Amino acid sequence: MKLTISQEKLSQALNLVSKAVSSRTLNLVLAHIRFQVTKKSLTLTGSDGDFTIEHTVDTEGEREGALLVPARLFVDLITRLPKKDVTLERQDGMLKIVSGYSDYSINILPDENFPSLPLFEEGKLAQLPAGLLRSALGRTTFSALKDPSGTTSHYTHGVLLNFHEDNLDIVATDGHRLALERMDNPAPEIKDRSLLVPTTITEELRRALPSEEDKTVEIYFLSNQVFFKFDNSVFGGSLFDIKYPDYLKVVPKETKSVANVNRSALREALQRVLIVFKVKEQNPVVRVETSGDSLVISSESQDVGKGVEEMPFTQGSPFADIRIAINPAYLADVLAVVDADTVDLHWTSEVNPLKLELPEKPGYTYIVMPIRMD
Amino acid sequence: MDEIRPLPAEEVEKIAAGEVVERPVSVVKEFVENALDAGARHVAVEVGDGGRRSIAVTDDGSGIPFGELALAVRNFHTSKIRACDDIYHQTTLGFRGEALAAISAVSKLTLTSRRADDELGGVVSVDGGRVGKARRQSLNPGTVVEVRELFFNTPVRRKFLRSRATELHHITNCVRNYILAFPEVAFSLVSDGKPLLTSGGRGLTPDVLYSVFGADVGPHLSSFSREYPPLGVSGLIAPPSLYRETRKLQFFFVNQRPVKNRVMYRAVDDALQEHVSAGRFPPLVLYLEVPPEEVDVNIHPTKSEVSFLHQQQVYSSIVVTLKDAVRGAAGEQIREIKQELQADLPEPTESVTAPLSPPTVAHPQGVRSIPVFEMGSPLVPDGPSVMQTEATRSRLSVVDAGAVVSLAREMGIPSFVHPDGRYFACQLAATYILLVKDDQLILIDQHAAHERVLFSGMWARLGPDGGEVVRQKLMFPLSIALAPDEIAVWREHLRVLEQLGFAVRFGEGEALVDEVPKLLLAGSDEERIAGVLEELVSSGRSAKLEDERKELVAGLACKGAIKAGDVLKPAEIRLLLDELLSLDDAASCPHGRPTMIRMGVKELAKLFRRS
Repeated sequence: MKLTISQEKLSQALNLVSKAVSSRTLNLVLAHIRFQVTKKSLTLTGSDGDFTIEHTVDTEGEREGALLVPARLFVDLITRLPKKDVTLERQDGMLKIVSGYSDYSINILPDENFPSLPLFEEGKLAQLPAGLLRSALGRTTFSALKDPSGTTSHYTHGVLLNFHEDNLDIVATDGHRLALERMDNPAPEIKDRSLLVPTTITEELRRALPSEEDKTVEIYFLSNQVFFKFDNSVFGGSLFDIKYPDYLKVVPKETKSVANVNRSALREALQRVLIVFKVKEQNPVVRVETSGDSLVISSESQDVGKGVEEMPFTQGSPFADIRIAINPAYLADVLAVVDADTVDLHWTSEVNPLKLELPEKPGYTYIVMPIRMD
Repeated sequence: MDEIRPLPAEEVEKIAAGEVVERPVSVVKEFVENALDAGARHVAVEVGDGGRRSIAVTDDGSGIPFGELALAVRNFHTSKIRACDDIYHQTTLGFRGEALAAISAVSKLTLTSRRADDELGGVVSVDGGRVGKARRQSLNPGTVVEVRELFFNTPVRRKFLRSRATELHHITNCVRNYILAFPEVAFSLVSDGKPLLTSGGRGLTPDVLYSVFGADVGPHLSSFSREYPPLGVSGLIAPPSLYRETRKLQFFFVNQRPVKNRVMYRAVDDALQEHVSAGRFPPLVLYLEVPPEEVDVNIHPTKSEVSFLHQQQVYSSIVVTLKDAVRGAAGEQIREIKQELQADLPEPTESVTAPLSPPTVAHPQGVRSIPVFEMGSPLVPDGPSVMQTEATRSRLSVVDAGAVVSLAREMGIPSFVHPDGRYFACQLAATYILLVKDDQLILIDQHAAHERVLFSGMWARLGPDGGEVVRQKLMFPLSIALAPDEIAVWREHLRVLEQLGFAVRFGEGEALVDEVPKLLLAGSDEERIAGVLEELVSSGRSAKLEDERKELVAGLACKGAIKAGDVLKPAEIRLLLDELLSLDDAASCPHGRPTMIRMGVKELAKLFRRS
């Protein structure tokens, strides 16, 4: 195997696939990145045994071949090389890396027992604009939890892709708040199919998806695994095989009151009131209420002090005075990721969920469960 | 291969004996229990050669009628139960009716007994299972059982006996257990003619505790007692700083029976975790009263293992009781240190009158200032140096102290002397505070100490009673599967659950939780929430919930506290000491690490191996 490639191209590709390499693994093979060189391309694969990222770079290979390089070491080395061409060559059972005045030979493994991706000849579920999926994941994924152990499957540890009738719903929740993005079903022939994708995958996928309008992403579903194919990349892994709760039931259809608020004003106010809570773990609580033509946010912490923020709002229809207590972090989170000038707050009572919608973008719904204080 | 044949009865008895009689202490245990079941007020145990040569137990109990002497040593002959079911509302210690028979099968046993009403008593001898003829004899009322040459006819077992010291150690421990379990009975243990343990039968008096726990622990035990009908938890506990590395000074009793039980161990360890690190065991006596039908002691012939019908309830009542008790015990020690450091004001000395507060400069008889908060001014030009200080001086004189501070200052060590000379303190390695006072040396971990100070303040504000109940509504109700009878129990506790911030309703075979206290955070922790609820329902209080809160506050305190490596100003040292010593539970940080270590002359002498 022999190949010459620019350092920038190579380290970019390595950075991408190394996201799937787990830092701790008992399986030595999985601490490696797979290198495949053909006449026309270089394909890199990283995997934790389940979650797998493959990326192909168009480049001319001098000699074809495949091998496994130790992931961390290789990434550390390549990213520190000068921005020049790097020549990689298999020599005497080692990988020789030459760039400018640098000359390294590192131990490698033969290309054996590395998880491989399917051929993608079947199982294609849908195809949609990559930018659309990217922004939809951006508005939802943050609401789910990341499973620290990576071993327990729970509905809070994944993002749901639910194809049903005319819609594709993308849903994420941590049990206290929920984000729902509804779009047209890109595969109308699929009337009922839901995929619960682990947050670890959606998080990396969201970052890697291109934002350009004209690029597309293909979704494959094969024996309880999901694959996202776009550009020269494939992201894939096992789905959670568990039941997702009936999220539509918790989305209030009709509410008693609507208030339209400036997004950035609300966000900044929330960030300020959060300051009176020393530490985020302390579980901050704020009251959100309307009084006359102001929206008032007040917070109080026994340990630090209190704060009140007021801002104008526009009454929607219907309207009644709003009064609710919530965790301000939940509201601040969503205001940070949505791209909108104003948001609509829908309210019914102190014990009903607070719903946020974007007047400029129908189809997006965010729900925060209230807190009750005695 | 040989044909299958029934074993001769004799051999069967020897084999069965192995289960009851493992070593001399098993014999002591069985005999003492028989004596106690017979209502004895005095029980005397005498052993020869660690019990390997002889064991004799004398009691003044009800005695055995002459006609039944020979029956008593037969297998499964007992007067204590009539049928197996009796076991479950059984109040005597023994009941299986196999002990005497088992022991007599592997030893030379003599049983002598007389009932108070009978004119004559009787004696029967058994030699390796062969029962001799009962003879009449004139005796004191009560019973004497004597065993000689244990395992004489099972040479392999005999070979497995350990040294005299080891066997005697087990026997001593066993008698200790009964002294604690039956404080109203007078016990004595004599080994080869030498008295080892005695108790007067007048309760757990200081001399009894002294003989059981020794001089360093005995005087420091404090008692506790709580009722959770039908359970009762009581006992004695030592300050956590007197911990041992094993459970050897932890004694557990269920209905006066010495037991080993994991649930009880776990409850004790969990309750004390705020005060000691894992793997350390403060001396403790724990009495648990349980309705006899809710505890199964028949797991093993030695009856030392028990299992409970309502484990969770047992666990919670112990945790809750001990948490309060250990706070008191830990406080005891702090009170001592506080008394030493604060209560005794120095008698005014001739040469120095120290200002109390504010620490203004005084110049008695030419002596310059005693800096307490600031050390800017030049110090004691001609005062005696620290080297000249009399070793036996009972209190630091301010003059000497000033010299110490000046020396320390030269060496770059933050230090100060209490204005009236109560103690001298300095910082060591920017991590510890060293406090010298009279014949005491006290070492304080500054981080742990500050953590405790912050924790106590926050806990008072955010603690179990201080914080308001904030409920987080769940997006999807959490379902906990329950049997119909459990649902009924849960219903009874709805009010308690509601007060603590849970909203629970009931469906078909399940409880649905709609709201949880905000303290219980992430939605994925369903097991934890279910655990807290079950604990609340079974005991009305949740140690887990409280722990959750404590951990949160402890985390905040830890983040806010000064760290090891922070150099302190003398005024800060002073402030920290004052605040720490104002607390009752100052002895450990909220994670269970000690905040201070006290060394008196005794401990120092021990370290230097001075006899």
